[in-house]
Amino acid sequence: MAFSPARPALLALAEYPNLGDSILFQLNGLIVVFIALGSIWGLLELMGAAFRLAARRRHASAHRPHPAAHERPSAPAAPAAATDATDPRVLAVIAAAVHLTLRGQPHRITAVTPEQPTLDWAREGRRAIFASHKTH
Amino acid sequence: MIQGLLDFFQTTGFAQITWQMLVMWAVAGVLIYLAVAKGFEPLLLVPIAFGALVANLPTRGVITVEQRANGVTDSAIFRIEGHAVPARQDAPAAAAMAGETPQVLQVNRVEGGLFDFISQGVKLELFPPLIFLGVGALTDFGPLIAMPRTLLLGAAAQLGLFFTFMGANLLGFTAKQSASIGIIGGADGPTAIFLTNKLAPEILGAVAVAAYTYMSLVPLIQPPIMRALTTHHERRIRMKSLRKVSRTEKLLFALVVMIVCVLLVPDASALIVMLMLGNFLRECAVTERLVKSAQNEIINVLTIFLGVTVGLTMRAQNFLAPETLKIILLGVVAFGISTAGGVIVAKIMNLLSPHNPVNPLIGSAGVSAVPMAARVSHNEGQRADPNNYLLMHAMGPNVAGVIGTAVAAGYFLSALGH
Repeated sequence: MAFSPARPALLALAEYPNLGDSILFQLNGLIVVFIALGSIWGLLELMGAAFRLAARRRHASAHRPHPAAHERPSAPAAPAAATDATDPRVLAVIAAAVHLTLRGQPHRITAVTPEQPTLDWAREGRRAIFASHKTH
Repeated sequence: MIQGLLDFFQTTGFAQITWQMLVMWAVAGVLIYLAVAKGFEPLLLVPIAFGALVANLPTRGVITVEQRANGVTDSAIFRIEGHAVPARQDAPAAAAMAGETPQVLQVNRVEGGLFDFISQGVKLELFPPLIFLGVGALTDFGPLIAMPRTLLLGAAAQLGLFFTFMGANLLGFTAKQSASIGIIGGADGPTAIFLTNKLAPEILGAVAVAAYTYMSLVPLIQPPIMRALTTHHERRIRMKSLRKVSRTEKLLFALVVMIVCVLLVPDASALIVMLMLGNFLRECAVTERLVKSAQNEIINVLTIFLGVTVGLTMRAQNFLAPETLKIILLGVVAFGISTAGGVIVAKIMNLLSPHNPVNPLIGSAGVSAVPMAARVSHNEGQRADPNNYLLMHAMGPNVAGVIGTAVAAGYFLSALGH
């Protein structure tokens, strides 16, 4: 729904405003920007607190001992599926590539996770955008 | 025979070349050099430079240019030839009730060049919001949601916009032109084009070129300011790891930001709505085909059209004026103050919250040149401490800057655009 509010006098700026009006106009603008982003900050903090609380509850219930668990014979755990990423040769290649890319800077590889093939084209878009900007 | 050849020469483009055109060819050449040889914002500077070159060639059938009575050059005009015919019986009842004979225009011919039509995407303000759709689809707001206080850095980096508004005013620009020049400090090309087209279309070419040139020069402009305003100790501050943000949070974020911003500055609706639509499509994970299109085909096609269209506004008659030089100078001032604003507010935040400090270098990323400003913060941080990884932390203020610039543009439009 479109609406056309009447413009308040405070915002009615002359084509060539004097210094006082200009400063007032700028202050109002900054206040508007801070109010907008500050309100989003507040809402995000509330939202984040609610989500963190929910996550803690889920975590607590998941770690509570289940009474029926001792009664059921447990099935032997399936061995972790071997993936390409766990192959020591692949890990060696990845480590070498990281070393070369970082030009010998100190680094530590903490995780190697497989790519999600369905997102390849989307990733390509992001890669192209990121690669198009030269920063050094 | 010689007279015939001379007459023919008069019909060629050579006879219409002026020295101003030659200067603009050199300007286009510099832009192409910066884009191709130096890699500065090539995705935008190449189409802009090409458009600028075309605008200063004696072309035919590409774009229509007319000189108005007041001396202003208007471009991208297409003509519709037709005649009025009586409307049918089902014509609008309001006109019939008012006693007027309802008529409709029957179009016989539409005349215009290729870019007369493509340029309507800028004139009708279609391209910038549609590019924002792609930007939203490409942006991960996770770092911002995980550390929402960096929204303040995005707000602080709008300081340059408002400060430059005053500077431009003092240099003789009108309030509308000053707002359009100030928005360069936001380092957000589509927003700058959107606002300037509404408020001061006569300086669109200069504003767009200044905005995109400075965006490409972020790695050169920002580091000296960042180093001057921070100590070595501050640049080495390591920030806490960001928490993982769930998909539901990201979906809610898109809706919350859209609602808050539209309620506060309805004039920025087109930009904010499309930005958040693109982001919602991305995060909902059930519209993969749409996201792929927004992230690649839509944004790429529109970038070509937007760049060439902006370049076409750089005709010598408009561009070679003292005002252009002033706009370019004011643009760098806006950029510098925005950078400083972000860094200074980050330092203030550290004074207020010493137990959970932010690295002040991420404040400069509040200008919304995504992701380059964030990468500059990261690189500067690594100069002081090679093991400090600031990139994801800097992405928070960086994407907050996009929202902040759109809100600032909405404020300017609310105040000056009616």
